[in-house]
Amino acid sequence: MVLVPDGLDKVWRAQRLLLRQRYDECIEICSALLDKNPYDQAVWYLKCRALTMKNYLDDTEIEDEGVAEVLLDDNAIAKLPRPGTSLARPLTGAKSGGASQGVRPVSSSGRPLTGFARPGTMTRPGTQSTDVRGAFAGNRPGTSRPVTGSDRFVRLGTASMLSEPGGPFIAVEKLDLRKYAARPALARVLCDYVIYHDHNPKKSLELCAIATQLAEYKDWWWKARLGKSYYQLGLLREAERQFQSALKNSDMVSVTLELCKCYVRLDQPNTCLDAYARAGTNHPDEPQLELGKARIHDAVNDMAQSVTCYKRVLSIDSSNVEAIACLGAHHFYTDQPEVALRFFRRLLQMGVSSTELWNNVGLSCFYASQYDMCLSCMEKALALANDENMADAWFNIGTIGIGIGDLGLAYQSLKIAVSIEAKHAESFNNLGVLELRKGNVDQARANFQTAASLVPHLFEPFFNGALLAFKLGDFQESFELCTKSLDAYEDHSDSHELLKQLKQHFSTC
Amino acid sequence: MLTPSFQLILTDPIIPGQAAVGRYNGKLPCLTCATNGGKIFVHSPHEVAGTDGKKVKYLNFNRKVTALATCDLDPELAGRDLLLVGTATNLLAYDVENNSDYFYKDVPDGVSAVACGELARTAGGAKLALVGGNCSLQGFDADGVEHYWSVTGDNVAAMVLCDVDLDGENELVVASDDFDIRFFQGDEVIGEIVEADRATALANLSEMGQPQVSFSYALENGTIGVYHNTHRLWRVKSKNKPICLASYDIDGDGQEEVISGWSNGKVEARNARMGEVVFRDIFPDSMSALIRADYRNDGREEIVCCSTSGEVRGYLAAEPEMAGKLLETEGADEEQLASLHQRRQELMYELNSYESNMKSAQVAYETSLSMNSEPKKEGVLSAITGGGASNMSDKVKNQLLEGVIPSDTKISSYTEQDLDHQCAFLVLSTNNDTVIRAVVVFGEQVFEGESFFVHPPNPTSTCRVPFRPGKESSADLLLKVLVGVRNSDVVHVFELDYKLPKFIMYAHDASGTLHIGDAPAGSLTFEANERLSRLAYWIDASFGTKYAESAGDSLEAKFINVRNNEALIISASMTPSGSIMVVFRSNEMDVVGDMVQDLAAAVGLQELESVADFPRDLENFRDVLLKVDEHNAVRLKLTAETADSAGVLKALVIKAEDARLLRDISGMRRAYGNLFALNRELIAEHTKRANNHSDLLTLLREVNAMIQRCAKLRVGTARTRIVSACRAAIKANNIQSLFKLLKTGNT
Repeated sequence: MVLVPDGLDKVWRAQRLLLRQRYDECIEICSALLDKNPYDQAVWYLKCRALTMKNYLDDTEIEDEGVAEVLLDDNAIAKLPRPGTSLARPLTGAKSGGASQGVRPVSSSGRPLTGFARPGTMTRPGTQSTDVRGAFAGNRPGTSRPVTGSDRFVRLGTASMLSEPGGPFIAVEKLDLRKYAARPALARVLCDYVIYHDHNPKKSLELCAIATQLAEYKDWWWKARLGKSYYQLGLLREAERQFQSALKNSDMVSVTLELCKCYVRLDQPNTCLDAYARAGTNHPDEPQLELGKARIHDAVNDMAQSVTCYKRVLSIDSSNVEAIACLGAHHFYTDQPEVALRFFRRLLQMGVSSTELWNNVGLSCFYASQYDMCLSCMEKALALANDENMADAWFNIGTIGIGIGDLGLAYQSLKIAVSIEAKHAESFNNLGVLELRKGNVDQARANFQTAASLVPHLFEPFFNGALLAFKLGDFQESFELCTKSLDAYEDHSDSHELLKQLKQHFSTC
Repeated sequence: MLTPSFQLILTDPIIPGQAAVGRYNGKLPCLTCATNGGKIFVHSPHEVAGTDGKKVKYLNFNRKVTALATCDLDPELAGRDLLLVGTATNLLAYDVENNSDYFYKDVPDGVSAVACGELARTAGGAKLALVGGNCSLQGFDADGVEHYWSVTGDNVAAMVLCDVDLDGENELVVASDDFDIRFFQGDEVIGEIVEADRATALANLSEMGQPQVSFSYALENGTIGVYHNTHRLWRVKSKNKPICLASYDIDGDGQEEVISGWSNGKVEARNARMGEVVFRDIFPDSMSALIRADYRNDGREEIVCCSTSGEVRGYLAAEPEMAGKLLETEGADEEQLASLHQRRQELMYELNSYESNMKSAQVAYETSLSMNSEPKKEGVLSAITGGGASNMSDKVKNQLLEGVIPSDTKISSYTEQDLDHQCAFLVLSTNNDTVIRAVVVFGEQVFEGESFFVHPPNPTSTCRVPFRPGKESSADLLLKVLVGVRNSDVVHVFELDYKLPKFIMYAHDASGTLHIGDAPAGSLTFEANERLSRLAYWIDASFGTKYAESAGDSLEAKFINVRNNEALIISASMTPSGSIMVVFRSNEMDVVGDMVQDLAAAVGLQELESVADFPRDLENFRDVLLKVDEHNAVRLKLTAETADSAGVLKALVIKAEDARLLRDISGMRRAYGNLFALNRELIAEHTKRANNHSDLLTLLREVNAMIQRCAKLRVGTARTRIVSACRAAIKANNIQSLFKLLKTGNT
């Protein structure tokens, strides 16, 4: 119960609380006031705003496609576009201008790991690999599963009613939207409430349509909200039209960001880049636009371009976590661990502290030959780790162990890694190599097989398996695995070499 | 015989008329065709095989593609073509190379034809993507900005850019479903042709410097032909349907031929000037598109022929020495022999029929002799000989034997209208006792199928040919009247021409005896700087009346529309300044518009402003506009609802699948049950949406048609101005000014 001292205006108090983002208290006061006088518009406004802000999501950033969208939607025009022109077909090999797959590992969608885990881009599989199994598996095998639909936007009627005793604050279905649309201030609050609190794009669409009409099609805000409603309903083309129309009225960054989200869903990265570039002429120093560009370049695997964009982002906003992390990862994989270390240290200075970051710092230290630091970093990483990322930390310790020649440590750590996460393919692969060195051929073979079956986009288990099979004289299996390795990484020269030898062997005998 | 320079069998069917060749990267040609299931496929034979080595790529539009074209719309792209795709509500310009939209425009009137190029007096000579839809024409530039808007009479069936008037700039030739072909020079209509059926294709012939031909056309009823400006050079008709047209110099003589593709798989090249066949080939399936392109990328243009089943053949122009030999096949001699045989057979039949006729006439003659003693009977013979058989001369006898009719036999013809049957009659009669056994009438646009055969069961000396042309047009009727004597099978064929007045379906109320109800409420008033007698001449020529002789200071002519008994009154009077004031009174705007245009063409009026007052039509129009708003609102709501349900549907599918994986059978059953119910709901919603959409289309078309009708009440700049002003008013949603425009032609 919030106490409001006597003599203090309760409405004013609620207003202050709203400004200080103490929404629950604000809502409480407003509810009490509204019980007395349900027609107090100012209080209604405050409560509506507080409820909206409580449930607010920055939807220019969050882009989560659920399994349903991935499997059942077919928004992209081109089925088989030129590589580099589609998010489903990133650039490969030398064209990308980045580190090769042999150095920089790839995610399940076949593009290099970025330095920053963002929603959407990691889970979204390429169209050619869209099968039910792939869609249900998360970005880390076995650990997570993407949401069913765009669950963030799904109406949870019961939940919202539970949270508010006496039924929902506003029963949108019963409102006469035409009446509300005529009052510009209330209509906007109501619109945001419907979108962010009720997640009812159908109703907000109706409201926005009426309001846009009343504003004689000149108000960018209503058009942008109309576009947002269309977007949430999955009507991308209509959304695109509204956003474009809104941009004509008033060039806003947020609208551009939302417009670009449409293009991403339509799988048109080039159109997206054009839109960013157009907006960039009016807003030359807007980090969000540059960041958007960088993400798109990243997604089509155009490393050289994306790095330039990230650098521009940093020159505008020197504490942008995403840009720092991505640049750090870039430098790390382009064999400049010292430079990468500076970026990661910068992140630490900014107060970011997570297992992933300590992992990165540790590995950078290791490759920069600061061996004294690396193990203590890994300890920090382990201390912060939870079930999801502990396996990665142990795997990294294992890698360090292999690097410094402490195979015992390596073996132990990798064993721990697979014990924590039974589907950690990278650990299985490295374990296999270690077993092989120990002379446990069957063990090694089993490990490679496990790794390969877990993550078909890694080429290492395939190649290791192929090499082992070749040495054991099982040429047929070697050939099959070698082909698979090349499927995962077409420029892998060792696999090519092996394949050549195999072919030679087949043709002579 | 010309053999294809290449042949491809593509696995996907090609939708007729929707294929084009584009150079999406500016260098290599790709064949792009619409196929089933809202998809387009791109066949790129020259592309270096990528990782998968497939030559056919698919583009997915998820809705029916209604028109397709390729064009280097934006000069900044340096020769790279864009793909223009039209669907029922949108036009998309798509950059295939970069997988990106160039622009995506709403076209509520639908896209039924797309042409691309520079149009005279529009957009400063920039290339436009011209879109023909439901009664409307739109032109977009490379940024998707609308630079051109105009209206046509009906849904656009085909469009082509063509320099019709030889001024070095392209006019837009538009064929619409009301059988009209119109030439647009910018906003202005500079020519109009009425054809006999819906056009299916048009092709430009003026490109290769042939000043005597403009374009070729193909009609649904099996006709193809060539026009020079509004003058038709030739036409041929066959029982198959022409699907597509192109122009290409296939015999290598330096002049383009008309290439046509037919529903039976025939590809035919005809000389553009004369129409004789130059080359012919046959496909196993119906043709679907003919494209001129350098598809082998060797610098020589070919004609690429696509059939509906996906077979593609390319023909390269023949070497000059091959000219004239393209039709020769190996079995030419046998074919000729067979045709000669057939000719012989036909001649034999003809001879036989003459002989048998002679015999029967002989018999008749003998009977008549034997009847000679009896009293004169009203009979066949006496009627012909004009007296008793007793004074029958040898000549007459011979005539009778041969079934010959008297040499002074003449056929007279006139027309009359029949209000009860709501049709007009052409009355033919002979000037003596010979009878009209049958009449074959051939008249374009007057009859369905262009010709009509009347065969009275009891032949008399007059014959009435009923007709009811669908639209007003001054047609030339070619009549073949089969006249014979009563007892003979031999008939004589009289060939006659009859020029129908343009407004033949309006019965003249000369004496005021026809029942004309209340005076029509609508009226059109205009002042023309002309003499009254010229107006009278025009009325006489187009209605078949006689006012010219008796023209005084004023004139009033009353007519009744035979089709629906609506009255039409034309009155005119001299003004003190020497011009004439003309008033058309009718309830039908269409009719008055036609008449104004006809009058302007006949007396050579370049400019005509008028004041229109058609309360009935305007009231209807107001309703239409209101309904458009209503339907738009409903459409928005339905779209949102459907999308919402579709979202839930998707989630349900996944939830059911989850339940299955968890072996939660009852949960799965529940999910599928919900899914089933929701699906049924969606289908019902879809029906609603479809109905709403088709209603909306009809209404939008009504709006465009109204603008067209109002424009037709004016001539010259007034006509052009009203179209663009109406567009502006509709865009601004300014109903008041729209109505004022429609009435006065000014805002």
